[in-house]
Amino acid sequence: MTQGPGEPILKVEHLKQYFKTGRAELKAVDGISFEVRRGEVFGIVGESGCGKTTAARSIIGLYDITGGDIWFKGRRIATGIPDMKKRIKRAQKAGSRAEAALLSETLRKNIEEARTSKRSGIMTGMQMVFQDPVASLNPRMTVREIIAEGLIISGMRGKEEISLAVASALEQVGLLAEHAGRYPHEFSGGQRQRIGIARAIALKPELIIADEPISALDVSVQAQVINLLNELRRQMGLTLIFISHDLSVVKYFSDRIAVMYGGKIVELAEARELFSRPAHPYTRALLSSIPLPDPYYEKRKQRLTYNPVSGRGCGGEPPQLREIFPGHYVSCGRAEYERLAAAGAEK
Amino acid sequence: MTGKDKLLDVKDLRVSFRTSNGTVKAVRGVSFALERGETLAIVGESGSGKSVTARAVMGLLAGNGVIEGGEIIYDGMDLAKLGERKFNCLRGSRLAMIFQDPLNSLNPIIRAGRQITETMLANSKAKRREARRSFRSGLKSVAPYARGVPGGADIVRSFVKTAALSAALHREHSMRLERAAEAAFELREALESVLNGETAKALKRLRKTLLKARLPYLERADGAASPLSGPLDALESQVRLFPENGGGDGLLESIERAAEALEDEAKRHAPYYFARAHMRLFKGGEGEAGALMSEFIALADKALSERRHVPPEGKEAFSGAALAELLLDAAKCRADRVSRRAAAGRALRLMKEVGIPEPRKRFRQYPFELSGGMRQRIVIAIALSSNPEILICDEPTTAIDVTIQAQILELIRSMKAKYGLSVVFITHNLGVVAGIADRVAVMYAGKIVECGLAEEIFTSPAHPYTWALLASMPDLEAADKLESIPGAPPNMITPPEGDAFAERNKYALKIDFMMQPPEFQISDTHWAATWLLHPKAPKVEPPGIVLERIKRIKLHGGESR
Repeated sequence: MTQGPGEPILKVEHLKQYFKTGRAELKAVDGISFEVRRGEVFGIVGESGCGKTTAARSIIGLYDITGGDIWFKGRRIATGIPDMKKRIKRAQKAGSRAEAALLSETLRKNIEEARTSKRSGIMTGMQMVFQDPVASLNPRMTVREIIAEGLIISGMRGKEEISLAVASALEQVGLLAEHAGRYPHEFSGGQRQRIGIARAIALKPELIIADEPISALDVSVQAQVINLLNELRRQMGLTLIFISHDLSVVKYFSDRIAVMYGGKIVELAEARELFSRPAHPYTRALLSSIPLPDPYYEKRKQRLTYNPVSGRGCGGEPPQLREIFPGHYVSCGRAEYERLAAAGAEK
Repeated sequence: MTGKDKLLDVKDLRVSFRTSNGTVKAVRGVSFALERGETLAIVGESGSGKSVTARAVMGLLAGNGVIEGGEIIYDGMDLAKLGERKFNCLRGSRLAMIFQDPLNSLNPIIRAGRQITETMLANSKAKRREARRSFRSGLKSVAPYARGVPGGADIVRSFVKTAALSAALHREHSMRLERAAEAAFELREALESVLNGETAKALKRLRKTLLKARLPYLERADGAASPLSGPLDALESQVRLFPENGGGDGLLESIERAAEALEDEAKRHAPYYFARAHMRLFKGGEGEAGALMSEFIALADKALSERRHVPPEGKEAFSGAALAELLLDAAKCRADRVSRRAAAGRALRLMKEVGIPEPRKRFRQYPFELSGGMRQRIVIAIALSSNPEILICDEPTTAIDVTIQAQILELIRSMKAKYGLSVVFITHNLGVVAGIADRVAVMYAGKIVECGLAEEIFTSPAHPYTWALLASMPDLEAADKLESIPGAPPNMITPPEGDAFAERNKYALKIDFMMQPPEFQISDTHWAATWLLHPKAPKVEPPGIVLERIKRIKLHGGESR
């Protein structure tokens, strides 16, 4: 299946990921929907605990999702079973047999669909780069073994072939083929992150999910890794989901940005648009807390704080993600939507 | 440098680590001064020696670390040569440190509250031990006078008596301070729960608090009415009236008044005010204490004059006034016993102050139950727990995300203003530096390569390393390719001969590889160590991304964005 640029490579609909904790359910991701277009860098920002990492891990299949659907390259790769079962139960309780039967039929179909697309090896097209280059590399494996593991699992058998693939992946990330025989601890932090990236690109993926790939690195090295990702993206035509809490980096790197708060997307827009016209109070608070290398600005700036309870004119209804101008979505109530859209039209 | 009050003066500090591969010269001649009330930021890559410098100041070097040379002058002492026992009295009480990762700097199996009180208790213990020692040595230096001097025994007796009196006085004051502060804290809590609509529950606690608060205050030795009695009586009558008056504004106001009065009372017993009152009492010569004191000073001076072999410098050290000073100090420390309960009360108040909601609940929680921001607040509370003069922050916000980082920075800024702290702030985030620093020192390979006011570093950086740092950081307007710094910091076992940055510096001159550049003064407050500033050097411009940013800063400087 081939797709042109700009078409959605990944579609996430109403993704929910709940975790059971002792007493209650933790709603880590609570119904997020977005599309990632082929060739773009899609940034996700938010404070720690807002669910951005969980979302990434759910998309790539490290968790069984609670609710919603995920499509990759037009094929369903995951469906939320527990949520659907709950709906079936509710329908049964309500006495509508027909609805329950219909729902369970859909569920069965969805599961089957996800299973077949997973069997077809589509998932190798999606890879992940993790935050901590120390914790994400097995200290007892050589770099060759680390990078080759994925290749072997995906069915590559020839020894020659594997070492060639490993060497080319290493070269692509700016390391030498000789490095393959070494262990992770022999490398510096930046180099280790390069190994993590090499592992991801060895399988020639189309989509890479980078989960805070630079926040554990030193300043000068951060720039190296960003430049490397940029380079790879151009060379390989990659699509990237870039997760970070460092807004200046996300701004620098991403085409579109989603801001998450409390498991939900509160604002989604083009990078430039989001930074020039932030509409959601949380986005504004987040933007105002970025430290900038400008002493005059920093000493005068007033940080905005976000209070999720007050200051939202939702009028009791739960806020929804609405499009206030083309391509700019904000989670808000109806009244607020009208105000924002009017303000947008004026500009 | 400016002739202001230098609180901490580091001169040519050299620190090395002995490892199996050789000696790592981590800090190679760092000099800086921290002025009272300022924030000095030290910036650099990891491995540039900034943390080692901070740890050397705190006396917390790893076992294989050695201070090879240089001085760290603080309060007339050279910390580089200070013994462990003396250091224990400084560390945590006058020098405090906040570490990078709050999860690693807190003990995972001890509740948050106890970790705050631990510092206070340990500190009071160390101080008291030290005080006991100096008291004993004071007693010893008095004892020889007693022999063979008419009335000699009286000296010793009056020494001991004065000390006991002073200690008792001190103890009473600190008790009153604790009680008042605690009661005020409880009243404020009650106020909060009344505002939350839990009036009945609040009043139950209020009654208890009142009972406790009244006892020590209402009767004063001189029989005068305490300034507390008015507000406390008013509050009591309000509380007694409770269900009828409905707990309206009158109740709230009376709680507020009483809390304020108690806070004033606490302030009156605060150590600084108390020390003045103490001195007045003993030196003014009134009453029993004053009489004892003057008797003691006279006796000691007389004994000194009658002694035959007194070394010249001993004259001053053994004079009656000097002995009295020593004695009072020792007595004060000795009495400064922090009980567990008092420490817990103080910890609760501190937690509230650093912005931890529901301190009573958090006090009983373990670090893993707290979020990153809350943990760092606990660490800050620990650092502030014994009123330090210098606070060293070693990348306190690196492990925390932006919103919390902004909160923590604001907290450090406000605590700095409130407690009059001087701060050494270590970070690699230039954005954070811009927000918090008065002066900035850029470190590379164990040396400070550029130092100046924050404005100077950001608008007219002179060292290529500073340029490289600035160029590698994206800001919201950056669109060009970021310029990463090629290569890695040099191996510090065999540091390079010339400028350590030359290897990675595209502007490097030939001389950079051969000779270390001296410090070139750019302005009174700004210098940089690079040969590029030599009059004969070729003129070089900083990289484009830096120039653009400087232009933007100058354009926007003073106006809002």
